[in-house]
Formats: sequence, C-alpha cells, structure tokens
Amino acid sequence: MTDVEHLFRTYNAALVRYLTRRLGDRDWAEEVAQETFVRALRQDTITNERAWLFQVATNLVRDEARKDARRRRHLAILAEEERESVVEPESTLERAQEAVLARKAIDTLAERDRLALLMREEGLEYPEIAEALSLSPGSVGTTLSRARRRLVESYEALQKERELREKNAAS
Amino acid sequence: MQHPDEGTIHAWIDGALTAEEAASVESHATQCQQCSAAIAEARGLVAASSRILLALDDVPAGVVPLPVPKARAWYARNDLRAAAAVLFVASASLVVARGRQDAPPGMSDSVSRSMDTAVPTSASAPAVTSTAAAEARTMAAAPVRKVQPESQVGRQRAGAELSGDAALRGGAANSNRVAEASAAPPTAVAPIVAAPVARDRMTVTNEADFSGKGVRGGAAAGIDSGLTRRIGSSQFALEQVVVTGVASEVPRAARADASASAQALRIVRADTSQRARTIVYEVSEGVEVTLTQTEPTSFDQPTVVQGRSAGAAVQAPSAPLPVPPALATVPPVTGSPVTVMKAQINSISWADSITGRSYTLSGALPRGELEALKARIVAQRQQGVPLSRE
Repeated sequence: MTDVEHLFRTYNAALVRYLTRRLGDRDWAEEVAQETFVRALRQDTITNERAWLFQVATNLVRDEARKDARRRRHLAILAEEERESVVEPESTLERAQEAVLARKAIDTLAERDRLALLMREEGLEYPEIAEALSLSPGSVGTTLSRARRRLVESYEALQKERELREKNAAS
Repeated sequence: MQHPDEGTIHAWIDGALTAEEAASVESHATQCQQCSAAIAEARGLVAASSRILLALDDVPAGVVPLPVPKARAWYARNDLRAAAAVLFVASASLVVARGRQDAPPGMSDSVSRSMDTAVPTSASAPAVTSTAAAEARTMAAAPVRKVQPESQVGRQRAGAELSGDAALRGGAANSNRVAEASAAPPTAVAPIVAAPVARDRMTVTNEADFSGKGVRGGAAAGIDSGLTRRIGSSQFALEQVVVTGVASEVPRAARADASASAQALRIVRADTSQRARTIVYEVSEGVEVTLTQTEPTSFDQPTVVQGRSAGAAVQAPSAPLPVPPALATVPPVTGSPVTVMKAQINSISWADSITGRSYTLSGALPRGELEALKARIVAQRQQGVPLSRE
C-alpha cells in the first residue's frame, strides 16, 4: 500500500496538531492537512515522508499564516479582555487564558524558530526538521534552543504582566 | 570538548548527537559544574516549552457556523462528506497503488515511529541529574535522579517506552517522568546514564485489594508535585478527540486516536488508613480526582500506612505519556503556583447499598465531569481492571 492512506493514518493527527498549534485554528488546520495529503497523492515516491509532509504543510500556510498572525494577535487581546468580564467556570476560564498566553508567547518567535519547535514537538528528528525547513542540519539545535528560551521567557513575562494587571484590578 | 554551546546541549537532550559526540558532552559534563548547570537549565526550557505548547491544543473546532441546514441536500451532510473524502483518499491510493510497478519504497525509519508518540525515539537520551540550584525552572527540591533498571523503587521497570498510551499531550501532555531514587545526597554531577528512560509501572493485582504491596511499588507513588502546578490548572475535556501531545511527550506526545474516556483512569496514589481508603486517579495531566471510600463499621482494617510513606519517599511521577526522554523534570513555568489558588474543588458522594460503604469523589472539576468520572471509576472497579501497565 502506498499509501496515502497509510500516510494519512500514520501522520494526520500529528500534522493536524502541528498545524493547529501553528495556526490556532483547528478547522483551518484540518483543511491544510487534507490539502497536504492530496498533494502527496500526486507524488510517485516520497523518500522521507514525515519531513516531506511537514514541509509541504508548512509551505501551504506560510504566507497566509503570517497575515493571520497579526489579525489574531489583535483579536486575542480583545478576546481576553472580553473574557475577563464574563463569568465562566474556573476551569474553562483558566484554560482559555492559558491558551491566549501561549498564543501570544509563541507569536514572539521568529517564524522559522517557531516552526522548528513545533515540528520537534511532533517528534521530528533533526535531519527531518532540517529538510522540512531547508536548514543546515547543524543549525537545528541552535534554532531549537533559541526558540525554547524565547518561548518560555515570553510566556513568563506575559504571565507576570497578567498577574500584575489582575492585582491592580483587584485593588 | 570544551563547554558545548547551547545548541549542542539541546541537540544532546534531543538525542540528535552521534554516539561519540554525546559521549564527549557527557564526559565533559561530569567534570564541569558550569556545563552541568547549563544542561539542567536547558532541560528545564525543553520541559517548560512543551507544556506551554500544550495550551495551544485547546482550540475549539467547528467554530465557523455552517449554513443553516434549511434545504440542505443529503449529499451536503458533513459526515457524508467526510466519509466521501476518506473514500476518495482510499480509492485514490488504490489507483496509485495499482499503477505502480515496484513495491513502494521502504518506509523510512521515521515511519516506524507511529504518530502516537511524539517522542524522539532516542533510547540513548541521557538522563542527567542536576543540582537544585542550577535549575531555575525546575522544582526547588529536585532530588537526584538516577535511572536504574533495578531501582529501589520496587516494581519499576526501565524500558524505552513508546507506548501509544499517551493522552494529552496531550495531547498529551503527560511527561515521561523518570522515577527518582529516594534521597541519595545530591552530587554535583550525577552519573550520566545513556540508558532508556525508566517508566513507572504499577503492578497491583486488584484495585479493590488495598494491601500495602500494591502501593509500595512506588510506581504508584505520588505525582511530581511540580506537575500539578503547571502553567495553569488546565483541564482537558475528557472527550477530547485530537489528543494533545507533548513532544514530548511531552509533550507533548499524544496518542493519535485515543480519547481519554476510552481508557481506564490511571491510579496515581492510594492510601489506606484505619477506616478510609483513598485512591487518587489521574484524569489528565495535572488533573486528579480523589475517591475516598469509608467502611460503614469495623476496625479490623489493616492499618497499612505504607502507601503514604512510599508515596512520600519516592516522589516518582509516573508517566504514561512519552515525552523527550531526557525530560526527567517537569518544572513549573514560574516559581509561583499561579493556578492552584483558583481551583475550586467539588465533590460528590454516594453510598453503596450492598456493602454499606460510602464514597466521595472530589476534584477540581465541575460536578458534571465528576459524575461522569464516577461512572467510569465505578465501572472500572467492577471490572477489576488490573493496574499493571504494559
């Protein structure tokens, strides 16, 4: 079996998750994933399947995602403010707030760093990441270290900021 | 090798170095305090970023409103469309397959790793212990962690596990936690073992059998308390279908197709005192519920307190979920437990009319979810789900 079907069964979930994290929109992620597999259908052979799939998916979203990121940032800010004025069960509220923070934090990364990190989270090995993003294999480690540091530091800063706001709001 | 740079350290953590490069880093680190501290910090960053990314999975689907299905043709139904899409893909692949002369190219090694695991399958990922001071982002009280197959932690078994047993993580968000040996005095640089990461195992014969032995396995011992203070008291819906992953395992690492509700709840901890028995179940990462069972009468319960001490002595987080093997710590993102403060604990109680026992299930979840969990737990206990995790 060639297997786009096999490819699909093996990689779809990881691809969708990667895309969801990248795009912040599951419906969109699923569309792109599907488009990726359709492209795979047209291929005779694919040597490194996972790297290929992630590369194609990444390319499909690249430009659109950049534009989208800007709009999204704005909306996220609005949304968070909105949410704070709505009474919701604790768990949902906190979960949503974390998602907003995570979104903002990951948006502070350079695109390539962000993509590399998201691919790594899906288990791609360094050579695959290098292939998918046209990086030199030796630079993947540096890229990931930079991405992780940036993500965590941004997140923590945002968290402190929010805590401060909440404290001020309460007083 | 002199002081590996940050990129190299991360590559080492991710298992991306060659055997020689890795050995070189390891041997350097055993002699260099600065580098072993850098390694500890890097591991903290790896774990923290995995956890942050988990929050991005919590995104609703189906948000775009569909056209009002007033006069919707039968063929426009989404589930039919989805089925058609699958058929399309399937038949297209059949067509492609038939058109081929040769056998399809052999699957690359990467394929053999199913999507179920976001773990980079590097069994050689070293487990490095770190000094507490060096870990800015790890728990303050980080004891030395040694990966030892014949651990003093009872029934633990080491193995490079890539089980599909992920969830969330979630999507897995469970991290692969290395069981910690109990308190050996922390050394500056612990022996670096290029060994597969130990996975906790619990072998309790019968959930209802609360003898101390089941608990003493240590594998059943408490969760790394750092875990419960994650970036938020995130709670994942039981019904989540696309499992959140962690590359880990962690992160991320999610099981492709599992939905939490299909699995028996994992028991984190079990304690027995004179009249009451408590079992702590893990609903999803960082989310637990406690079932308290009290006997109606009778004081002839074995006063087994081993469970508690085992739990305390061996704070071994057990991790069903794969995560980059080197993530032995799952540090809170910030030092302060931002989340704990706001969790509201609910509980529900009921009585078993036959045995006369009364039960209470409590957790930081809405009542509705507790009710659903109650049903699962009751069913699970009735089936006598064996607790050994394979």
